[in-house]
Amino acid sequence: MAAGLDRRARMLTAALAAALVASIGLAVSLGVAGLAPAEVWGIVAGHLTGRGGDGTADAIVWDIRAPRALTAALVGAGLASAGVVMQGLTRNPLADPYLLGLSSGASLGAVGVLLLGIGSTVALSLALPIAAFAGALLALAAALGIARLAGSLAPTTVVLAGIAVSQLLAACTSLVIVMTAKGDAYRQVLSWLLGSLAGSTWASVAITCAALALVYPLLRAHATRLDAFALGDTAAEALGIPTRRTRLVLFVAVSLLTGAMVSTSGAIGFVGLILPHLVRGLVGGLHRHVLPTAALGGAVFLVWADTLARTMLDPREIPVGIVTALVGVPVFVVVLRRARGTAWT
Amino acid sequence: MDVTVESLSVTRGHREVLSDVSLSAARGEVVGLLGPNGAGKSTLLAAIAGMLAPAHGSVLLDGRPAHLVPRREVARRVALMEQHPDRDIPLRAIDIVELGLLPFRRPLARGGDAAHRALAHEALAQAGAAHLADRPWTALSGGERQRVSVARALAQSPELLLLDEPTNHLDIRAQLDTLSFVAGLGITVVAALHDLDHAARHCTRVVLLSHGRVVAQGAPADVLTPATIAAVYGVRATVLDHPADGRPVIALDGALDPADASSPAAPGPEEAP
Repeated sequence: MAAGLDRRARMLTAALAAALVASIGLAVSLGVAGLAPAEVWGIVAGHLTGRGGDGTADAIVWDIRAPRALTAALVGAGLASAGVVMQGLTRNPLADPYLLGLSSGASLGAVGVLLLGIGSTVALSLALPIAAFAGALLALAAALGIARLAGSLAPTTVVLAGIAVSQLLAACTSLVIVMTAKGDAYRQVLSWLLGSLAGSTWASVAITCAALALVYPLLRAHATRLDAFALGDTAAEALGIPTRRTRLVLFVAVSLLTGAMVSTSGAIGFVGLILPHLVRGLVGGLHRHVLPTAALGGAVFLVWADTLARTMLDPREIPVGIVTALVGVPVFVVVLRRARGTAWT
Repeated sequence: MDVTVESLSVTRGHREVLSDVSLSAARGEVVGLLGPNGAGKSTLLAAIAGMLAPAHGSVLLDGRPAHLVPRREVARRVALMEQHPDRDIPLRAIDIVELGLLPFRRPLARGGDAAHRALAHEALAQAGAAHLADRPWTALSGGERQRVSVARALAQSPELLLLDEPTNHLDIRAQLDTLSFVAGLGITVVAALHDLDHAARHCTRVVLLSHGRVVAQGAPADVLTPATIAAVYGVRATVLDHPADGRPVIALDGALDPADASSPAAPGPEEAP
């Protein structure tokens, strides 16, 4: 049923888009401050119609909750897209920016820039994602390099190499923070290593939105080529695809995306691993179907994960990476089990 | 398509994996590449597809050097079928066949073209696998996977078909089906084969390789003799004439003591893809 899958993918895309709008709306309404939904929506409507507002309630809704929910959605979409592309490029169902060390590399890059102590906010908000991008790219190169030294680019070898790189870079990140941080160093270590959306501002929204707007269309344009990578490099090459150049371009693109996401929210795990598998089970493996549904699914997932992270242990807040791990690992086990031996679903 | 390989040498790192190989395949011919693992069969196929630049010599496709022709242009005329029956691909048969049309669409086109989908269904039907269209690759048997791979190659509408051990992992019926089918297409076929009887049955010409060099080439009956089989494979064999059509039938009698073989046939390093 060729048309059947196309239709199913379209329906899922529409359903997820609607769910995303509803989720962001709910996430903005929910919180420890106990504001009534009517009040919340009055504030949002006020800002959207350009009237502005003031007061504590206004600041909570418009300066804290709204940018936080939007950043969560954008980061979720970015990480899920990055996971889809990495799994396709490496033919590795376990590939994801977190497991292969990109997120840790990006964290270290970002923390390194914070260490430089750039005073200007504008310069800092530009330097952070760029350093995170460089860190992600270097971590990826290191993981693949180590795997190649170990003699194989087999999925398990690559993941083991990625975990090694990831552990080393996470240790470096912790060291840098503990050595230099003023104030609550351990809290900062946690939010970089486990991810946290607590510091989201409208600048975070701008950075993640720009990265996604820049990179996602490029990934989407490569959907059919990514399908061909599943046949193996020689076969893809024989179909006229410049495999080396394509892989390089997409790895750089994914590092850029991961870098931008991590620079605003730290290393949130499992989003890039789980979402591609979940949507493949629903719409099949064609990348033109998997990419948009995984991106939207990742957005919805992270909005809810973050809402849980900030309300579950009220008034305490936990790093969102704990929630994604708690939800993600069992889901991944179920997905693996259903796949019966083959890791692809 | 005419294929001419002239004193071709290919190096990987510092190792020469093909040395002074010459062969030709005229339009419509079925040429078999024979030889033990590591003899250079896969490398030769990749060189013919223009994926490897020659260190010396040349590969000419209808008179043009293969590695200088743009990849997409080669892909519109040459199909390569690797052996990959054990690779997991998260796609359905029809999606895989449609990938054969990649060389014919704009490089970064969005996909999902109805005309291409129809062509893919046609190719699948031509390979006798129309009923497999919606089945996931992971649910196909070895023989079914091979039919789908053949259909993908057909979707490329090639003038030259390169096959790397197309009968690996297949039962004997599927082996015969695959080879008779591709031999009957009327296009030039160059196939790396393990089974000498298959080569004798389906190939107009065979090329016997050992350690990257051509040991013998010609009609199967001239090349497949007890002496060449002993020299290249290190195997004692009796060659009989088939009572029906006189083609050689090879009965393998046993492994030769390495000392008895007229040239060392120790297993070479693993053949690179």
